Amino acid sequence: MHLRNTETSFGLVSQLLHWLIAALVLWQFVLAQLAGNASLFERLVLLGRHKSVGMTILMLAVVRLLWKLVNPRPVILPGLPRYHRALARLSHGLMYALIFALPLTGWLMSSALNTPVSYFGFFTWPDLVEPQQELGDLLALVHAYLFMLLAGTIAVHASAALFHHFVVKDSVLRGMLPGMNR
Amino acid sequence: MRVCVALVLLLPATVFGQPENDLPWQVHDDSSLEFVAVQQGAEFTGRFEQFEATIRFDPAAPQLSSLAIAVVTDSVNTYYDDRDEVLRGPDLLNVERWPEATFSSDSVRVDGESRFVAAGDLTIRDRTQPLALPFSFENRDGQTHLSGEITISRLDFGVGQGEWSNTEWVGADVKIRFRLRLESPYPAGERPARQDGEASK
Repeated sequence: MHLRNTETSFGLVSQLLHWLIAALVLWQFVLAQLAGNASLFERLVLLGRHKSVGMTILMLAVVRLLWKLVNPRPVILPGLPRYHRALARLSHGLMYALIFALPLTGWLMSSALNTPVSYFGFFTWPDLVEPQQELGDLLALVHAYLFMLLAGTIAVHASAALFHHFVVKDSVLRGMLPGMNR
Repeated sequence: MRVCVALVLLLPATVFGQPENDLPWQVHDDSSLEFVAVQQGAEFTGRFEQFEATIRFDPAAPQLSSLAIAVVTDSVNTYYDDRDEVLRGPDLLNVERWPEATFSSDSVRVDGESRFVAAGDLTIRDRTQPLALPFSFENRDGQTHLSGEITISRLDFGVGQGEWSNTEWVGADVKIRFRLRLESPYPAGERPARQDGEASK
């Protein structure tokens, strides 16, 4: 097992960052869904957690991007049809962009709605804009649409991974599983 | 002899308190009543857009003061409609039932240079608590300001019923900040000095 990526495989750090962020994104979805159906007080609690977890994702996204930049990028399976590879690149790029865009629009929205973002009660992130409800309401919509885009992209990405694993029976999925050398 | 007359005129005011026809300060629109509360572990600032302050105060004779502030609870503004609705609701300010929150004091003492403390009663919802409210009274750039801040616990006043009494997600402490810009009610601009016996005229 190796920490860094090689030309042909992901290292442990990349793998852990991938799954950690994936789990947190799923948790974010659950918190947001629960908040939608909760009482006003419970919504305050759930969205408070949602905001702290969101900032965690943002920080992990920064780490992940930096790690990606200083590591070799394992080649996508040679022999894959060109449009498959293009689709993979597109979806990877979108997901990278969205794990920044979602926390950032959430943070902006919170600032605009004068509900500053605490980090699990330890400290408060600075507000990015002055309170202005119209902007906050607009950002809430953008945040929701960006999430739908992320959910759609994840669906394509996960389907492709499962397709490769169970149908094509190649090593694509195993490449992202810690401890499984492909 | 003049001194004697002045002393005689001053005595009743000192002994019996505020002369009834002493005009209160005019409170300029450029006055604010803000509060800082904690939600989800983070501070936010809100304000009350409407309040009426009846201030009778002379720094030279603080013992003659009376302060009365009535806040229209429905005018709460935290720049977020959803939260304002919750604040107006039955579990927090319950503005329908208690449209006003008030502070009144007729006991002010000196607490340093330009600093005073008004001892009085603060009423929010149906709860009244004694409150020693520190404030400063300053003339700056030709303007007179009466300002100060104090931290109260919202739960002392029942602001937070049921699940809203939780203090992990909605902090108990609320900082109240006021800044009143005062203008003299007297046409000459200058409040007549009490010592010349004209204060009650």
